[in-house]
Amino acid sequence: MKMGIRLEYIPKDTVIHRLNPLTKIIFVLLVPIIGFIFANDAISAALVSAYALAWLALARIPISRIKTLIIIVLASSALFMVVQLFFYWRGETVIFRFFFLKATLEGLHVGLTIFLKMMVILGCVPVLAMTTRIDQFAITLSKLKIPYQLSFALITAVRFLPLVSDIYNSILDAQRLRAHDIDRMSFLTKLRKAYYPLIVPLFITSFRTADELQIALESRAFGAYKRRTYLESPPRVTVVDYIALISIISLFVYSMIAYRAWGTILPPWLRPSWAVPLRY
Amino acid sequence: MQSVIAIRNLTYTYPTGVKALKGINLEIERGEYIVIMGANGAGKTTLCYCLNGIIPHIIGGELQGEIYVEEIRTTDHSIAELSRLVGLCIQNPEGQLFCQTVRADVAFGAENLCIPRDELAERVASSIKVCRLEGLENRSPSDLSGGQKQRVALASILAMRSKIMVLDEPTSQLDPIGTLELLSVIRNLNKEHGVTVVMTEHKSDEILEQGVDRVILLHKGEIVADGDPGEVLSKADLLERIGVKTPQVIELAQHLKRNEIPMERIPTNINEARKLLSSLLDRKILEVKQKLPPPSSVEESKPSSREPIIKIEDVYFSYTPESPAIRGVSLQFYPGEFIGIIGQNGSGKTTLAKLIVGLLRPDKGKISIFGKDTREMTPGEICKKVGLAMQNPDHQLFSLSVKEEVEFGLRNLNLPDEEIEKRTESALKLVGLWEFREMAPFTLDFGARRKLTVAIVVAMNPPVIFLDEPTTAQDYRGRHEIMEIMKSLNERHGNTIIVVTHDMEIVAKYCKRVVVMGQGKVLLDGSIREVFSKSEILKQTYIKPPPITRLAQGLSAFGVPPSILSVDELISSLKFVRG
Repeated sequence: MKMGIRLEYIPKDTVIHRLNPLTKIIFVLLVPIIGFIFANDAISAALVSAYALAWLALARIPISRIKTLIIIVLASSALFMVVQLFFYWRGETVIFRFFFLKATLEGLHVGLTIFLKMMVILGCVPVLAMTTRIDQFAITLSKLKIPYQLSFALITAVRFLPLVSDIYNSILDAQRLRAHDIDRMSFLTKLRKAYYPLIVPLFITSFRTADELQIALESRAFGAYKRRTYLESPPRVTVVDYIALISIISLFVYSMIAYRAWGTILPPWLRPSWAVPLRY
Repeated sequence: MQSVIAIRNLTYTYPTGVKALKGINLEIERGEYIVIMGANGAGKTTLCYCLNGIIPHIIGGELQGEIYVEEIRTTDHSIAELSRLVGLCIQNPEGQLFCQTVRADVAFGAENLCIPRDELAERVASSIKVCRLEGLENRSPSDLSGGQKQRVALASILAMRSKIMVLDEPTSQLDPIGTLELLSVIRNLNKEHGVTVVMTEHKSDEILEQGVDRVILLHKGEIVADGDPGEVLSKADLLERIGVKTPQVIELAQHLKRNEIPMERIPTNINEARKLLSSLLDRKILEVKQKLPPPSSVEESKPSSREPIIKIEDVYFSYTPESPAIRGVSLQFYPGEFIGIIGQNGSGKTTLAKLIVGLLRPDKGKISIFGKDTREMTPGEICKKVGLAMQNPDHQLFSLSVKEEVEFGLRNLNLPDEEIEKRTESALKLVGLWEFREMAPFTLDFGARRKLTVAIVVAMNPPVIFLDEPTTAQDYRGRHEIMEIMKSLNERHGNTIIVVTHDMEIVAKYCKRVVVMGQGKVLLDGSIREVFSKSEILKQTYIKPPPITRLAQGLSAFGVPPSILSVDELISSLKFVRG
């Protein structure tokens, strides 16, 4: 198994890539709120996730690069779906029975809504992480008066994750080369025999890598002064940014108002009767 | 002249209690180009870290004595302040680049120094030019070759306008031509831009050819020699004792001296040696014996009669669709062969190794081991036939003791306990680690960790042993120790040995057959002498034959066999005419 959650920058020239990082930061902050809090029925959640996924599509991010993320979202949604289908406590309308379990229409709707809410996250996270150059992001944060040490900590984390996943994969390879046939083990045996011995070397090597990173950073005067300069000019705000911002903010404001009125985004007359807003 | 670095009575002990430097006294003058040599563990890296304050500011430990850089005492000033004076470039090219473009990485240090944007742009542009990185500005550093990465790190230091550069084994992971390119950039910085250079290095031949100002030999934390490179590197006995390789040209010169051949001065590079030898040949003081090739070599018989152990048929593999790593490789390896795989960084050598042992699967084509298709085998099954020791020992060792580390694989083979005991003991004794059997692997030094990875493979007793870059970051002695073990396994037990390396002298000394790779293809495959004679093709993949072979090739007009592989062979092909 390869760890593949690598949300690294993919150099491309698309509308989304050209957006000001600040626009994308606002997108990533607001749209998940719309999806998770305001869009409370399947149709509304579907609309919001379609909006988020449209951004992803515009950014032309290859599916192969976010495969792991997709698998995580789909797998956890599937679990939710099954659980809600049979165990949703308000479930009344029985669709079918499975031994003593009753699958209900309401449960199905709840599961589906949760799945669609997760799809919003799937659409949002890569848009910021995979289309923004880190240096551009850093300048934007510095414009927001965030200390550069803090923004660099974030950058380092982004850089460090792939390093750790590389180490993880090579230790795994080293074990396979010593007849440790994890390819033919059951999941539980794997946990005990394959993943457990990874922990010690993973920590030791990660610490070593972190030390090396610190040496390399400080040798390049990192942290010498409170402020620093930037070679790159700060990213510009263009007409496209205004259009994008208007679409995000108006969607957010409308959703907030609609949520107070109807408990979800869409008014009752635009929803089929089964799409009842979720109540917690 | 004024000292830019002055070290007085420096003694340093690591927090772990290891005494790394003892009574170091050193004055370095502005504009000097100094190379520090010594075996692994001699204290080279420690000395580098002392120069820009990493010791004691980050690493700590106990430091006695004084270190002054531009008359500033390092212990009293922060690393950030010192970094304006001293730039440090570390061994691992991956570990020192942080940004997503070459340009951003070059600017990184100068940005931290709050240089205004106009000046930044100018500094970055000129640093990129000096380090010959034009055209790569917008590339991601992770896509560059090792040599290019090191040049990006250099450019970044340069953009900080550090007048002193400290380079810790910058070429240890580079192919031969990548090494020469980096060294030529460094020399240019020194000569044209007045940068003072302090560099640690293992590659004595290249250093000698560079024409550096001064060589310092470190041994167990003490300076044992300090002076002119030609002079220091001629002390063959001392070099041998402290584990530094004697350059081939010096070795040759000493042979000539012993035979009382008249020399105005000792040659210190290939050119001088060629001039000297051609004038000696001209004046008939030397004559070429007409024996080609020298009798000491045993050319191996063509193996066509035997069944191949590993058969690779038109294999393709790519990590990403845009950049194929292996593009149609076909090879056959036979029992008892000793094979070297060479080629520039990124030419597909490691990928090929991983394909053979089943860590990767070919996209197209077929690999069979003892006639069985690897697609039907797991890596766990393949490793009983082909044992691979990978590059970085740190990513392969995970047990709590050296002994357990070796036993891990043997237990997976379900061997009886006494057999495991027996094999562990003999493998650890073979590499000289038996006395350390109870220690934790990560507390061993780098060379010992490397040997442990070899012991692990040897204990599993596979008929084919595959070593991926066993020579990287190893000193001269360590390299030869590992290779001698392989040689004895090859000769005594008939193991097939495959070695991936950048060290052409290792290849010349041990390998009978050489496979040259370039851009995912096999460029050459043949006997070592045949391959080294094709220098044009080798150049394409950044390979240069060892200095002595190049010297012999330069003398081919006189009838010197161009397939010479060692100093001894060259000497024995020449006859001394007295009188």
